[in-house]
Amino acid sequence: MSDIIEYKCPACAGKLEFDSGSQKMKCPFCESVFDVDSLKEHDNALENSKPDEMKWESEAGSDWKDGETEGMRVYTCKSCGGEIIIDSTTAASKCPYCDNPVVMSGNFSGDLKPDYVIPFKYDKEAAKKALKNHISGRKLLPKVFKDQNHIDEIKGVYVPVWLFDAEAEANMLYKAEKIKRWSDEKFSYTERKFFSLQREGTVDFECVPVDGSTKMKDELMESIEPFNFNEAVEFQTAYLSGFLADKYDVSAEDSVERANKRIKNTTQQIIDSTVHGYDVVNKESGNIKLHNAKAKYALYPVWLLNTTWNGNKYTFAMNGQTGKFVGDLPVDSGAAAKWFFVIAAGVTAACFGLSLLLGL
Amino acid sequence: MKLKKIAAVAASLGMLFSVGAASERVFGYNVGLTASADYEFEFVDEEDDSGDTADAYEDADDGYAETEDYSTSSYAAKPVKTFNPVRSFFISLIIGIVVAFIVVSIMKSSMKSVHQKTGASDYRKENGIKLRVNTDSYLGEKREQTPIARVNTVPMNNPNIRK
Repeated sequence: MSDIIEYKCPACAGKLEFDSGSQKMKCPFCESVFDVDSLKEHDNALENSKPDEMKWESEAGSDWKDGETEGMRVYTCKSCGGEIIIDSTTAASKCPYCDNPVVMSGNFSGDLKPDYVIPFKYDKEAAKKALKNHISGRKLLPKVFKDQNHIDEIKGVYVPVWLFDAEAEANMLYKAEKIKRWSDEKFSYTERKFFSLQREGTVDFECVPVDGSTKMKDELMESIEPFNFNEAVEFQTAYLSGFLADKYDVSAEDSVERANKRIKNTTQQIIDSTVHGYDVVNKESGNIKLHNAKAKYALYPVWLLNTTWNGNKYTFAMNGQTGKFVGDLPVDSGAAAKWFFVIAAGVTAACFGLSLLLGL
Repeated sequence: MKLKKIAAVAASLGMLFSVGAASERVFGYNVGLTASADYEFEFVDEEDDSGDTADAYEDADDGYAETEDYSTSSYAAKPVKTFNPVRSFFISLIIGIVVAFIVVSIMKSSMKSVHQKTGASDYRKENGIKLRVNTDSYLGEKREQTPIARVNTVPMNNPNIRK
């Protein structure tokens, strides 16, 4: 059984949770606040962690089939003794029986230990408020989405990301033209001047994030960017308490291609922007090389909301550091048709009235 | 979202002002009497008997009528606008449908906020751009000239042209 880390309040023995407002550990029972550094001694357990001991239990009369139990882990809650069955990548969760926050230290030991973590700056109430703002004023949103019951289904998750630093070296060759036109009584003239343009330079990037979890959609994670790495701190398990967390299941080698694509596109745009003053520009050749590429492993804070409407699943996400809220909303076709006819009728009446006025 | 609203309003205003230009105008001609030549009239001589006065006036009326005919055949016509409500309604309806389509499309697109990032401009280091080579070399030029086709404005068979 893997070690579970629980932070108990020295005052009342309640379970401590990380408070995004004060950036410290807070007891929800007696409201006591403790500095994260003072709880560092708990992290020494990570260095002495023992290998996972897999212990499978099966219900009477049923056996797991081969391969069915792969990726699953069983933990026992230290508070209530309840068994928690979660997948192998989950590193922090809550007991479904007593709602006690738990951290699975085994998933953050050795090579799996993140280098950095950006703590949550927005709490659950802020996420609820952001969702209300996101759906307010949406004329095409179905009424069921405005139902208050959906707002409580919000989870704070630390998403594993790979951060890439790189120096991009670009070498571009362009062919450009300046075109001048004029005419006199007899002829019209066109003069074309041809130029060869060469651009060479470097663009430095730092902490380009790539989602390291298959459970989190890459598009959703990229939509809530940017994250400010200046507010990142060295990883400590205390920050995870009260939130969900996953370890990575997409390696750095598999993620680097996505980072390369983004870095290359931006480098190309920057070099292209140095060419101006010409009427026609064509790129003849070019290449982009990456130097000093480094990867770091970090946990980024995200508030997630899942809901289902009309048989479709909708996921919303809020950047736990900046508060940026995104999520595709369903479109009520009936409302869209209603607005279409109302606007068409109004504009038609206005145009016809204007034509009557001008016709007099 | 604000830029999209401004674009939708600008498109609507543009469509509204185009209605005036699209309204059909039918021109008709009314007779307008300008200057009348007096050489058609018979002047009433003072020495004539009064009995001849009626005839003289009758002749004058005929002359006036001829003058009126002459004026009708002249180019003195003023255009008058008439309004075609059916055509104007259909044009307004088309504009209304186009504007409604644009506005509803903008409202629908604003419902989608999840997009994949194409670049990494947010993670570029401050002052991290260094351009080592920035040269523009002149290669040459090419000039083309096209003769302008002339259009004859005077008809070939005009009797006023002296050959």
